[in-house]
Amino acid sequence: MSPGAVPGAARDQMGERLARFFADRLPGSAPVVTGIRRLSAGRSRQNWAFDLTYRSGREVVTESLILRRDPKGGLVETDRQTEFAVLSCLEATKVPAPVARWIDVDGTWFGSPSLIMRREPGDCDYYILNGDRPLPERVALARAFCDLVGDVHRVDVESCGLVDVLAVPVDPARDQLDYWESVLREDQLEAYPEIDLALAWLRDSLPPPAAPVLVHGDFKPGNILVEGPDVSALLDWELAHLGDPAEDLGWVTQPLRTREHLIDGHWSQSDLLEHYERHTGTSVAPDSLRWWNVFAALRTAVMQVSGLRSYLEGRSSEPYRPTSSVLGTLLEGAWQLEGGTG
Amino acid sequence: MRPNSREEMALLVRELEEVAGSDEASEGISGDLRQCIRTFRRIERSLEQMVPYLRADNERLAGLLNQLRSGEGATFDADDLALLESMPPPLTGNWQEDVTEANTRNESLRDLLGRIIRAGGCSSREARADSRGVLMESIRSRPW
Repeated sequence: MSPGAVPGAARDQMGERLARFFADRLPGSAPVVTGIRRLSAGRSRQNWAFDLTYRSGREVVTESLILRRDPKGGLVETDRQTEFAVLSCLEATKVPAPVARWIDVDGTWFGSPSLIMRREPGDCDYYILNGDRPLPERVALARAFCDLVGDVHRVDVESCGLVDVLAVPVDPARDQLDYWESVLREDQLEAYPEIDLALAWLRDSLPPPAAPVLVHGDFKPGNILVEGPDVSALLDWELAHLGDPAEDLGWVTQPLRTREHLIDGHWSQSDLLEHYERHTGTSVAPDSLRWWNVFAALRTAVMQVSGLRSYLEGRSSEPYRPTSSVLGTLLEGAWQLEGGTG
Repeated sequence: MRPNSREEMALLVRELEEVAGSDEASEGISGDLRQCIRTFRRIERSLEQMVPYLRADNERLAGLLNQLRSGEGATFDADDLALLESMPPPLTGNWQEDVTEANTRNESLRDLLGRIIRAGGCSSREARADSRGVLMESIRSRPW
């Protein structure tokens, strides 16, 4: 079913769940939930917007909120408690992340693990950089997105407490490769020699360990709220971890996502990298970036393998599968890591 | 036997199109049905090409595995060798049987190649280049 086209029964059920949840969390404050609707943004979660009014002392408070509920199956399986803690740490930084308000860790109240966050203004559009806005506005947004990813990497992870929440990797690239290979082995229902070969190539050409920074893990316009000309929030922190900053840059500049991040003739990969280097005062090693580009394709392929499993087991209604485009990009990228051409 | 698989698929698509296009179907249900129709059509389009594709892919994979077998580092057990030495049976003309046979062999060959790669039996530059060539051809020639 297309998101947004939500039957009244599902909305009513969510309304009842929210009412019970807030009666428990805000006892004696007469919480009232209004304006419940399902939003379309977010492929891995179900998003529900609503307003909550309650008494706080002598005041009546109204908050605009969003509930993000895990689906039964999807592309990624992550830990909601960690995401809640990451968002709480980010409140002390200049990164515009949503304010986390409540959590249902094990799905007791909403059927599956869920986060309730403050709803920020603005809209998400995967292809905003190549949409209808005038070119100067789009280029300005591209720069703002680049600044944003740089700001994420410049977060002081010690002072805001992230080092107490997220594992500090000794070798970020190796750790990520190990993690995604473990996801592959757990979810694969058949052989993928294409992925095995790419993994072998990636293991043979690991970049030198980088000093760990906060990595968003899924940085893209589809996760950025834009209001008018401004970025209002960076969403979807479920894959955030400490790692190599080139990981986010490799995700952003991978060949599979150029339409989301670049503007033909006006915002190239070199523009993006130069801007990033100026903004952060760091340099990006080309070899490392190429490795993370291939890793990005690997991660996409593994996510599709997980998505296929969810679909075949009836936990998701989206018929994901490792596509020819992703597997082909992965193999070609891995081959080039070894200096192969053609 | 009639209706055969293709005819049944066409009947299903026709029924789904009727429901998806009716005034009674909500926007959400209609969207779901159209997704089903697209999936059926993709399967329908690839039906004719499935057996030739799988048989050609099996030949490529078996050729590659035989090459790796003569190289260093790859270990094949008796079952693996039996798989590589067995010839694909002649086509029966029964589409379902032919697809099932070719697909089972394809899965076994891909599984063996994956195991050889993971065990380090494809670590020379040449072996990897050959494997990459065969796998890219499999991807490029996929009918679906």
